[in-house]
Amino acid sequence: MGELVGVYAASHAPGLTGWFDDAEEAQRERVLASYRALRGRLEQARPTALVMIANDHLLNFPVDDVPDFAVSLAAVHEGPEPWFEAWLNVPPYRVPGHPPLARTIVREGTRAGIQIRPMDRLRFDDNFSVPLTLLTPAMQVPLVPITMNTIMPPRPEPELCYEVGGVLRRIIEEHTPAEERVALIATGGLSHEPGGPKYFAVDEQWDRWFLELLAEGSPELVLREVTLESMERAGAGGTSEVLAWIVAMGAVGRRPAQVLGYEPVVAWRCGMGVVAWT
Amino acid sequence: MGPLDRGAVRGSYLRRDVQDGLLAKVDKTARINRLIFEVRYDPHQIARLQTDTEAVMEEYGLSEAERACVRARDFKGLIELGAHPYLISQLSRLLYGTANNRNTSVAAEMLRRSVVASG
Repeated sequence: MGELVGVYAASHAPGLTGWFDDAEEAQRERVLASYRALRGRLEQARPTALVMIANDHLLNFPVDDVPDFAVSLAAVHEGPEPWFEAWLNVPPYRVPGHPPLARTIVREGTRAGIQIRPMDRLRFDDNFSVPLTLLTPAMQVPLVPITMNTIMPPRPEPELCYEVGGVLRRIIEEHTPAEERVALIATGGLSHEPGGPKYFAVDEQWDRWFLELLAEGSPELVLREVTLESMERAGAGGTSEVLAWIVAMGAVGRRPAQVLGYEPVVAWRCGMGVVAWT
Repeated sequence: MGPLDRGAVRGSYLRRDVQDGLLAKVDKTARINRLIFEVRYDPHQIARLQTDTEAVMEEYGLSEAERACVRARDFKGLIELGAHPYLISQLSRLLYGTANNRNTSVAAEMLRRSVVASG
């Protein structure tokens, strides 16, 4: 039986690669240090597979057809999607997939009651390109990308996302080969409001409150406080990307998150947080 | 009937999401959402959107109100008509360029004027 060797979460704002220099130097350094710390933990965990979960930004799925969750079965993933290349300032890359693990997640996830759609391929924008560039620049660890709906109501509620995390852990522990060492990385958030009146604002107070709640190690507390309504108030359509973080929390359960860094980077139009549960 | 309290909603099989705010305005049937979604896949269509906007809007069957907003670069108006705000941030980049999308870029500035400045 396989093992879940690491669970992490981080923001994936495109400014981090696309217009990095616009942030002030001290802030840039602190953000990079937090991603370096996460990369160090990830490398120490020696994963044989990465499961990355992040929202689809209406790139693979139109507003009238966004599945709760979707998994790419591809043997090789290619990114970024061409139109996003210049925006992200990330050159084309290839990263190996992990079809057996992807199929296992779809099969067992479906059996567990999750609406999860298998895809022959997924197009990548900032959601996977930014964390891959920062955390696994060698692009060699086989990757299973999972997208989720955090952008088009009615979205999966936080309670469901938490349960999905538990299911992912069980699938990894009960349905993968003994030598498999899986790391789970959730990305998205923190506060931002793409295309809305708060596009150029970051809700630092909400971000710090959310990170402090995760550090308490109480899923009940997080689920009671961090509602969809609360996320929308802190930035409609963007802040709710932290639903991916709730999935990650569900994979660890009652354990405090360690906050590896936080910066409200207005120049990137996003609150930048990095946490590790392991 | 007054609004249901959260506990009562939890007893329902219906999924509960926000009832007001930006995302509650999104209209799944608004054609502008389909146009922005698909144009991004095709460099030829991205170029045509800039050079022959009218033809692309015709292809996607945009309503007259949507077309008027696109012509006026009224991004806020498009959101009021049901465009998803995330796709609107992309429309601005499709029209004004996508590289170096810093806060002072033309694409960001045009959004600021329409969506932020008018509240």
